[in-house]
Amino acid sequence: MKLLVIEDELQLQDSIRISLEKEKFVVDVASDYHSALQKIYAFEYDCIILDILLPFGSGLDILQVLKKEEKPGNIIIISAKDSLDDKITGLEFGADDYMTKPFHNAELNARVKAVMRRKSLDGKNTVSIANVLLDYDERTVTVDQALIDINRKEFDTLSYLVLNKNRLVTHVALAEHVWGDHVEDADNFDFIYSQIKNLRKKLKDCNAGVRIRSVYGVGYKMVEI
Amino acid sequence: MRLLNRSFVTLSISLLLIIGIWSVVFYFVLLDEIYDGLDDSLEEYKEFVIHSAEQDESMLKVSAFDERNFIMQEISRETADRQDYDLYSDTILNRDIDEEPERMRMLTSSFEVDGQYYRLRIISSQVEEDDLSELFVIFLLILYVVVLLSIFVINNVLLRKLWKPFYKYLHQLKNFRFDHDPENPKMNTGTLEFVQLNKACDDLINYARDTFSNQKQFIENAAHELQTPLAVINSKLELLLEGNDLSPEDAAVVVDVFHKVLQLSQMNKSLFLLSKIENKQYFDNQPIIVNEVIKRVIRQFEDFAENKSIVIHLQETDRIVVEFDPALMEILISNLVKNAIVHNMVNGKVIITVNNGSFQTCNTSASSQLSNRVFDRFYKVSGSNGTGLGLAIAGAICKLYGLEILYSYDGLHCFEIKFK
Repeated sequence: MKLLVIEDELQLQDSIRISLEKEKFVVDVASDYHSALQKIYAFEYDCIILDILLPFGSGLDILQVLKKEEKPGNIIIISAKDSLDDKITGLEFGADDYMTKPFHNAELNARVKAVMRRKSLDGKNTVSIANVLLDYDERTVTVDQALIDINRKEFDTLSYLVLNKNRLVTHVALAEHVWGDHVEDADNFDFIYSQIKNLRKKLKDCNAGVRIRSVYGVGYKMVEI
Repeated sequence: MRLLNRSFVTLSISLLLIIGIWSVVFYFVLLDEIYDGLDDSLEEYKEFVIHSAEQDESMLKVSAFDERNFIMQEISRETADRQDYDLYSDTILNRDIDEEPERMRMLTSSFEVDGQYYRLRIISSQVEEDDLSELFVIFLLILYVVVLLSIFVINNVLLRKLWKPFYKYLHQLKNFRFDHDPENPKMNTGTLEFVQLNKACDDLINYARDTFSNQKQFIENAAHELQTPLAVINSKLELLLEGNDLSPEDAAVVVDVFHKVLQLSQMNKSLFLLSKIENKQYFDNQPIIVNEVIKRVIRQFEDFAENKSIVIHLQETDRIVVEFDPALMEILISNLVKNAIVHNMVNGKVIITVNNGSFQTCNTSASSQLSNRVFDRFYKVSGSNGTGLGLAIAGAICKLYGLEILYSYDGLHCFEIKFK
């Protein structure tokens, strides 16, 4: 899987690249309008992560080029401008998703995987890890083909951890993803703990081949046993 | 006092003084002129009498004032020499017994006919000074009143018309808000002073506008520019923590930094949002059912509340629909609900009421009554971990939409927004 990160802030570009490379993606980078276009014309990418504000041009123009060239890649816009107009224009121009900076590495991983899954050729909207299978169409989880009882928030939590397997998912990223934008700055994230406790119990009860590990008290990591 | 009235009063007082002084001067000058005239005619009459007496001796015998208004008296040469000039004097004569004594002007002179000296006294009716001064005062009063009336009329018709652009401009200025109205107030006038005033105000407004927008721009830029470095720090710290090769001591330090950066990002985000709200950069108004937003927000926070064993009661007796920006409504409601949960206590409760066009959150809390500064930026109850901006944002949103947000305390801390 080959990804292109178009981002002019080199430090941010760097950490996006490192984070995505950990997911075993091949990551190419471009830091301005012209080099981005060169790469787009020269190579095929499975997913393009695109900043709107670029030196020498706009990410929206790149979107239009991609549309004209009928490049089938998935496009995720990352913008510092939290503006509804940009979001609407971006999605109209053929972007698949829109994220506002700053974002968590885990969130980007999850989004990249989600857009790639949606466009995958086998048409199966599922993700599996060890003996655990998540079906996104049905929103069900099966362990060794046996359905386990799981509620909406538990599904979202599990899915987020699975999409970021072996990676750190911070409390704040998880809260934002599962509970919504406004919970992220709640004064503490204790409430996540009880959610994780339930999830751990359910996974253990059905002998799932995964475990949720705490990481330094800032988040969790899903690992295969 | 209005300018027109003020100028009227000043004019009335100064006119009273001017006309008063002028009339006294004029009265005496006039009186003097009249006496001069009187004396001149007495002089002429004297010439005539003396001339006539030289031809007609009978005239030398007139010894009482009759209609000819003179008397003659023989005098010695010495007496005549003692007074060899014409003497004008005022006297009171009772010519007729039926009439009252009359004030008279009298000319005393002496002359010589055929070696005999005579004293001639000629009288003439005096000016009635009482009548004159009375008349004078009456006419002056009339003049004063007429002048005042004319000034009043001129002030109110002509000057008012002249000042009209000024008052119109003043009215515009009173209602003018430079952060609100794109157009400066304008004065349609050719009067130089007004044009200058308009220009001076324009300059002042433009300067204030520039300063204001620079300030706004600065806050927004600062918050915006901070976002990227914060995002980089955040992302790098996440990568560092992921590394698994940190010693527990190092990890503890990184975790502390990570939490502080989270707080910083949160505060920056809130400040950015606050400046955007205050700069009115939101306004995608559409009908919003407040009840639905409340339910959605409660769902978002229920795990959070449950963790602190806080029970949320929702009491709806009304359905509120308002024109509002959806994102702002979400922020407004969630900030108040979050506030009610965060500043609560274990086993506490939150009562959310939608009643009679108003939305209210009431919560139990360990702290006592708060000051009215709760809506100020960075107002914090000691021990709070929050940014101190949540209620400031709620307050700013309410202000943007002209809504009232009230804090009250009667055992429970209550925040109420009246939507209708």
